[in-house]
Amino acid sequence: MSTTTVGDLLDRAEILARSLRAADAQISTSQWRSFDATAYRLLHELVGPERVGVREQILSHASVSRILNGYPSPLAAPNPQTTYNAKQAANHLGVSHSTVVADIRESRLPATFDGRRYSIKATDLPTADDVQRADPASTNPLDQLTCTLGLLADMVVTERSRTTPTPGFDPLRDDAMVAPVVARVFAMTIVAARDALAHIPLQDADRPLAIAQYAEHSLDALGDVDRPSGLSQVASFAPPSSPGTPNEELEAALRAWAGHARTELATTIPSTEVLRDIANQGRHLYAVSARLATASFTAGHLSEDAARAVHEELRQPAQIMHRLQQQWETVTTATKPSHEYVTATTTLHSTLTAIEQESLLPGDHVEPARRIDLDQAMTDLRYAATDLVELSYTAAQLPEPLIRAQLLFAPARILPSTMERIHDRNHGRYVPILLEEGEALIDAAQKGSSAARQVRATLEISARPTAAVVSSSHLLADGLSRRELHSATRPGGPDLR
Amino acid sequence: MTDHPTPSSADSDASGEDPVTQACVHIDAAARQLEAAAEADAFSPLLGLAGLLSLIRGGFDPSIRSAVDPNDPLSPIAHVDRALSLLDGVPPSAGPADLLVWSLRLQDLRDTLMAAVMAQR
Repeated sequence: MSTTTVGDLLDRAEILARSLRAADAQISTSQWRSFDATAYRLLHELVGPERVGVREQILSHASVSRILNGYPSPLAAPNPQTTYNAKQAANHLGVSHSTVVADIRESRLPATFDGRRYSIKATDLPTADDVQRADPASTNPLDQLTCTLGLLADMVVTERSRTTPTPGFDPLRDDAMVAPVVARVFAMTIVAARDALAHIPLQDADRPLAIAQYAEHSLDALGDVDRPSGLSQVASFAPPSSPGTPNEELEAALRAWAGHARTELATTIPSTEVLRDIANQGRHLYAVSARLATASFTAGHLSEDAARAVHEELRQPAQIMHRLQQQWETVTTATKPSHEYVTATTTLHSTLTAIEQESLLPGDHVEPARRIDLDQAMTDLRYAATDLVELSYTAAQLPEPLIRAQLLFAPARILPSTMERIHDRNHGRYVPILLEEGEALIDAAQKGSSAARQVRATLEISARPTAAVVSSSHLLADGLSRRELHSATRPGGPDLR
Repeated sequence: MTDHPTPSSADSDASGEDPVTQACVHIDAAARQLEAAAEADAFSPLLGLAGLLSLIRGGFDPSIRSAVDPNDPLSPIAHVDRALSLLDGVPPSAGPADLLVWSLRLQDLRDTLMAAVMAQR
């Protein structure tokens, strides 16, 4: 399994932070500075850009931004694209706001002015040039902690730059979800700074002392953040480049398909053939998930009730996905599917079929090389179910704008006849469909999106300990709160903790 | 963009359409037959193959669909073979630039389809 979540990395970082005390390893000023710059980069990426729109969100985010802006003179810009306002630049330089404004006015510091505030490129600010990257091969716990936080920052950047949103799950734009993670980073920063104070030369000790004081103050300023964060479920995947086992093949095929499907959905005019195939592939994934659930029961990994519930509760969403693909068949954007997508979806189809035909045979009929780890396969398919929540939601947003833009076509012969269409009908032409003619498609797409969320909830519940595993409908009937079921539908990926 | 409601029966080859269009009609007809053979079972493996055939047909031309022919005498494999034969007959300088790639995909899928049809028997 080559999947890592934000929660996994945070847990690893905390273990490394704890080991700093026990290991009592020697560290250099350079190693500390590397940690210092990385911790700031992670905090910067977690807090993210300013909010616009909802007043409550703007105010909530402003308090978190204020904490970040208090970071004492960051050693390096978090990334080359970063821009600062004058106040943030002043914090970076360790000078007053008026000094920065004076520098800008006297052309000592390049900046642009949008009529409200200055914008200064991070690359135009003088920064310490001796911050070195932590060595990924180092066995020193501080270096390892630095590298882990750096990876976290990379994951946050990737998550923030996603082109397709997941309905109801956008933890990086929810300060209530970001704050608990920020608090954990501050706690680790305090531990690392204390360790640095004990080991680096006295003349360099000012910096870790200032950072430790800042982190302590910030931790208090964040207030009550002792709650689980959905951000921990954000996952990163590193599928094997040369898959050898059926599990590796499944993981690689799923990741490649999901990635190419996202790319296709992000195009200006997506291919309806691809939209149709996403629904079809979703149906196939649900079918294989149901078979895996049955096999898990046979192997004793899943209770009979749970296996039956999964099987029954996946069949209806599979039918909904099938109806959705039939609806997409009636229209076209005239955009061809990309070769990369077709390769990825063909590979996924072959992999899923191979699992069905070679790895899920009864008894001892499975060749040793084709044996599959059922738990791992179910985990991969739960992640794929999360991908489908995102993909089907994005796809469900497309019909209406495409119709309004007159980019969704159908043969005039199958559409209601109008005076304007007589000529097109007679000449066998395609014409843009009207909004009322696309109602069935819009409805099917929305039902597909809901079905994907339902499947994800079903698979999440089935992954819980056997004693608690019953169908979601039973859970509701037996008093499980709708809130709990809702939380299980949050499409952030399976909880691997 | 022109509509091609060409009948999917064996006679359609004589309809005067260009070979790529005729091939698309055959591919779509094969996909429809597979869907019908799945008998509305959402877990049927035939639906996955039908979806891939439609995707490949969309690679040749997204605007071509076959008309349903209840008396279609050809099997899905026969439709795919007709399509491959038509595509092989397209002169090298004619047709879309990526014709060879889509043809190759169809050939690959034909072998998978054959295995699936045999497994159904």
